[in-house]
Amino acid sequence: MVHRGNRRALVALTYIAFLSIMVTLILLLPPGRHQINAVWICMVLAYNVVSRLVFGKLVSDTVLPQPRVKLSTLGLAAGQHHREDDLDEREIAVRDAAYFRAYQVLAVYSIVVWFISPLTFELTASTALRVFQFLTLPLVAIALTLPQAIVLCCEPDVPEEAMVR
Amino acid sequence: MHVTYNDKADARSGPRLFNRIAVLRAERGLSRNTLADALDINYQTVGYIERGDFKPSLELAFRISEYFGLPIEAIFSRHPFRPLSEEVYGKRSPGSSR
Repeated sequence: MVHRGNRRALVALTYIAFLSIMVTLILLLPPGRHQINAVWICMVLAYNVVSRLVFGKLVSDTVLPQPRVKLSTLGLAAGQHHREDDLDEREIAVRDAAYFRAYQVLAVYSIVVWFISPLTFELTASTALRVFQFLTLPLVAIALTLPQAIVLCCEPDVPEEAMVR
Repeated sequence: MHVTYNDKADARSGPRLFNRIAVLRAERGLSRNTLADALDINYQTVGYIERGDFKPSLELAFRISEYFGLPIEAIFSRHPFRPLSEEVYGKRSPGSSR
């Protein structure tokens, strides 16, 4: 198992890289249909690269097996995730705790965005749109990947002697 | 069964549950994998239970007890277990001999 310090660093670096890509797309593409496509690209990247390849691989090496889901549905379609009988009771508890923590973070972030949104009323329409995108696009990045990131950041290190099967 | 990812909640999760699974496993020469396969759980879960980092459900505790053929209170306890040698031979002062 990778040590927690390294897992946390990986999560931080992945999010920094991913958010940088999103910010670049927002700044480079003109507002309108192109940016809607950019959001879609970000979601595909978030799910298929960050969630499946980076976090998913590591999570499956630590506590949870990788779910068998279709790539095109971004893991959002019903019935694609682990069934309860695929996981043991600790894995179910870890998954549920991670989803609960992710829900708390997303709820708090959404409330904060809601409260600071009046500040954009003073801005011009195009600037306000950009600010709104900067504030809300992280939700795209984290909504699909946060439970895995929480598992990677919070799961304690297993002592060396316990690694022996 | 309790996982919170929240230190304050962990502190509230109640007293630790002690167990003798590691001793029983070593005594019978079982690997974590063998025990995990028999109990239909992940081998890492065995380690978490052994270390007291995860409290098994009553159902899993009964499965463990049935697997070892021992009463549940011989495997799990709310209080630290006395060493088996002490239980079998009684408490002796260090260095004392028969």
